[in-house]
Amino acid sequence: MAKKYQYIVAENWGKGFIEINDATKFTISGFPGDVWRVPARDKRANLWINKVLGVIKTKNEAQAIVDALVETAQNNYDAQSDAYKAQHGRPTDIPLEE
Amino acid sequence: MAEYKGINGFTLQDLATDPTINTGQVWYNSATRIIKLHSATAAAVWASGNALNTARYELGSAGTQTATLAFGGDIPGGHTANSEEYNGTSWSEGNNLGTSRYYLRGAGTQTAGLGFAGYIYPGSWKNNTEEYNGTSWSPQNNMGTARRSPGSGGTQTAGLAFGGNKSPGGALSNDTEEYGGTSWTTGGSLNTARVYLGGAGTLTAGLAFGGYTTANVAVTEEYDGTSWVNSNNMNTTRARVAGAGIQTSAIGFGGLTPANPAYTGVTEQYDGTSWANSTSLTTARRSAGGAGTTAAGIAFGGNAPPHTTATEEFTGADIPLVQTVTTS
Repeated sequence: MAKKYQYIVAENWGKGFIEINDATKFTISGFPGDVWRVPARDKRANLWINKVLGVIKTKNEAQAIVDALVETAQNNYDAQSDAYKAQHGRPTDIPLEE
Repeated sequence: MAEYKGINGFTLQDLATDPTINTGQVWYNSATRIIKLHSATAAAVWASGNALNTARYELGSAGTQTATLAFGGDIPGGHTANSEEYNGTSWSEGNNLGTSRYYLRGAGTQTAGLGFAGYIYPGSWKNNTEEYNGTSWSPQNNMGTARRSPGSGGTQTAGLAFGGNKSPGGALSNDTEEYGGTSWTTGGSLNTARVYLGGAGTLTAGLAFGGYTTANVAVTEEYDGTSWVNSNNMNTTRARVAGAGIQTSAIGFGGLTPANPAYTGVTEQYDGTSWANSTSLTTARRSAGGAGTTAAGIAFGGNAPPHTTATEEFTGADIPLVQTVTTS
């Protein structure tokens, strides 16, 4: 089955990283670890990937980057007291779509 | 191949500077040597802005997309008094809050801001109120009810706080308080007591949406300066949602949903009657700061996880913009 999305890693430098002209043409989704998801086989998305010097990742590679950050946040939470946990929610997993 | 003159009856204008917005106009900017056109956003979009200097969530916020104020909040390992100003391009450090805390809220503008409520772990709910004059924060009269994570709206001289949770033990609150520029007075109670709700609007036309009771809720309520009435629910049930705008034209974005993944970037727009889905935040997050309007909003900070510095700028649908013509 053809992949719906492609994943990249690119540092978000802020203003100009995602411009209005980018966002009007295709959907960009961001995840922890500077992981970004764009439509697969999309010429405009590929132009954006070139612009931001994105490094292509497989879905599994992207998931591993996200999981590592989420796991760190979860471990930090788990180390807290019960009183803290009563007032804060435990970070949840972020499953990426194929 | 058809030529521009053949289609439009005149040649492409050669201009040294970009002309006033006139949707559909195409021109050649001789200074930058780029062909440009005036168009409009077909749908709302989120574009990236420069990052906050301090990553944080459950922070206070106020202002507009080009004059924003971010203050306080949860940072790794604790809370902060740090205050930052955004000028539409970048964040710069301002003078700190007098009382460091997280789970506080804000109202007003960058030069006349209001910060109130909050929490310091463990077990210290805050009723502190501070005013910002564009340079520094000064303490004011306390709120009647110390609370964390209420909804907020209004201005420095006509502020609104509603809901949250309070001592003892984080009991849910439906209390509304109105700030007149000097002191807080009791307003009408929310119909649904809740915490981590979104807020928008003014003292006499406020809006409360989403939040958490014993579960996340989609409840929407409108305030007329005296009492709250229920309106239509949000489409996405969520807590820790941020907001911007006014009672008849508001956006709610981000938050935590009961679904998996819980972090959401879903943005919804309220027209005074009902919510409609808009374009999602690029980076899903909870407990972000929010400010501005439905034409020009801003989201900053939050927890994605981890704590984030990410800023995104919202441009509503049908907003004129200049685009460049590229070949590929």
